[in-house]
Amino acid sequence: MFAFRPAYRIATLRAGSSLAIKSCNFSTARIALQSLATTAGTEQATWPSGFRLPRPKTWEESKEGAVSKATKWFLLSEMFRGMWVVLEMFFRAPYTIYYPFEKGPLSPRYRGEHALRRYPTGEERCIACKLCEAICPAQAITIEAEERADGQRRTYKYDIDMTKCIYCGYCQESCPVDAIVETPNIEFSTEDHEELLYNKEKLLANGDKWEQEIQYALNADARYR
Amino acid sequence: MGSYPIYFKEPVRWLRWCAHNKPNIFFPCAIAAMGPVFLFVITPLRKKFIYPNAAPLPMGGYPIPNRAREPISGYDDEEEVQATTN
Amino acid sequence: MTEILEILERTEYVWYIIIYILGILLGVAYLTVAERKTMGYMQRRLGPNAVGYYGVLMAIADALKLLVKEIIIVRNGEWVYMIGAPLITLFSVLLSLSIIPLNTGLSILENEYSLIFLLGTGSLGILGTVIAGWMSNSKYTILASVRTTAQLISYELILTTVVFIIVLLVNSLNIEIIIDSQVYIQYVIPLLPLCIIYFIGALAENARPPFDNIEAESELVSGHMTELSASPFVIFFLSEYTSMVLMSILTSIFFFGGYLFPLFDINSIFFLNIFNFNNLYWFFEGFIFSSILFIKTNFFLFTYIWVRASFPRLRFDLLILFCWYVLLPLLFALCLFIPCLLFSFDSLTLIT
Repeated sequence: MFAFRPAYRIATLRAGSSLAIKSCNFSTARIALQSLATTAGTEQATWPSGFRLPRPKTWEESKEGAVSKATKWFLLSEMFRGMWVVLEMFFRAPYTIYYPFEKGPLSPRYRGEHALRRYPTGEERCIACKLCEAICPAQAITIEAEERADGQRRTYKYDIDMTKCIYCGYCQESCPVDAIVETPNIEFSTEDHEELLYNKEKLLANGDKWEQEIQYALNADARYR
Repeated sequence: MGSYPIYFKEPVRWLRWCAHNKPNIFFPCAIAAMGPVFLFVITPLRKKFIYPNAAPLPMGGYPIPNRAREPISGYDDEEEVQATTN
Repeated sequence: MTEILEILERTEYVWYIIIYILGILLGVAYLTVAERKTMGYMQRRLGPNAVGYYGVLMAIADALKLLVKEIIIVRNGEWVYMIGAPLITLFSVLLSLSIIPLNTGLSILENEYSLIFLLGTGSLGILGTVIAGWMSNSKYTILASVRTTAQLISYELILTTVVFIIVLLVNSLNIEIIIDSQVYIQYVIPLLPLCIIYFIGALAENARPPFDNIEAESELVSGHMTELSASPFVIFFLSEYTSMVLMSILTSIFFFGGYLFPLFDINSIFFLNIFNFNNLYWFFEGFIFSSILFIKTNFFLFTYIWVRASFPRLRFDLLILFCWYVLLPLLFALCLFIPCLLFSFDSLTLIT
């Protein structure tokens, strides 16, 4: 039914060789290679036989009679074949996910809403190195830093404009202490623009809220990093 | 396709070309040509060998058979008619 | 009480018509939902499923949304015609539906010349589209109505020719006699090419995809309805779907025996044995026969949607050429051939 092209044989290579190319449906390897003698035994640059389709047959060369062709043409046989495929789809299960109730899988590397993490002691991780601000291609991050009472350098302002952010993930890649991360959270739509201008408190709260998920995603992805 | 036969040089091949490449014109012409064939060839043959034409319907109604009229009796209507008249 | 009954009895036909039209319009409203659901499932998705259980209230939500919208009339448009044109189209379709018999003698307008009536009212529908396009006073709408007229008139010719070939076979213009003459064999079997042509013509006449060049949602802006909004637009929409129902019914009447089905022949012993002959008999008879018509109609409506989900739109020149170069030669050939065939077997009876 699907033989739109002339049927290609699964070919062995030239006689005497026991090597056979197993065919794979979507690769050109299903087309048998030409004799390797012409390319001195290398498979590279071998022109597969049947790589070019033959010239279509003219009306005199084709075996099919005019009446047979006309019957198929007038009775819309190709049209009905197409419609049959559609009807097959009609009786199969739809792919739809009922979104608010069902959710699709997310990769551990998924880059969603931002969060600032803390150490297990409760100390915030960010050391105000401003690497994320520097690397941010959308210039969505604004950081101001000063010396804290105990002499450590900390940010007093860490703003992300979520409407500028392009969710490229460079900030979390650049962060030396894994402070700024992108959580798997994607459901943070708001009614106002202002609500999407995140400040440090919001980001830290996000970090506290999503710490479990962040940990899980990092663990799942750790062996590939 | 490219080249196609010319009617005045090779008419049979031209017809075959039409049948293959212009079915929307050729086959209607063929079907239409069948019409007069049926009209003038099949009709006399049918009249002769299969069945003749049906007799025409009498447009002025069927003729009354040539015999005496018999009054019918013994039906419900008659009693009802009598009951209503009485 | 008796006075009320008397009034009801005197206005009997008004109530018939109201019930008939309400039924049709409700059915049409649900046809739009059915189309979205069916096309959804053909594309492996769900379609509307949020309004009511399984999306059953979607039709009502849609109607409500469209009816409470503001009617915007363009300043230089003729508002009388812009509102009136959709009504002409809708009424022409509803008038055509009035001759459809649901059972023997169960139609609003039962007469001997129903086919002539049908052809007349069917042609009136074009008038609405022309007026709407013209009176919107916009270049695009008038171009669209020219396009529409070209398409609809071309395909109207095909439908009319097919109908007259059937009239040759039936020897009557009465639509019930057309149905009754298909008791033994439905016309789809001897007239299969005509059936295919009629179905294609009906698709084009209703401007259904793949022949929806008059509207062409994704390429042009809604054709002759561009300047219409809210309820005038809804009425065009409604008349489009109503004519879809009409054409499905006509296809099933002309080629598939309408309300007849071999097993449920009124004369068959099977049928008489099941129901006792009392007042309810008429209810059951009408119910069964109209259900047969209903099922056949639904099959064709499904096929319309199925075709829509299957094929891409034709280019406009191809659409017209398809009519004049493919369908019409074949149809005229059959017009010549079928009377000759009937004559040669002594079956051609002309209407006297």
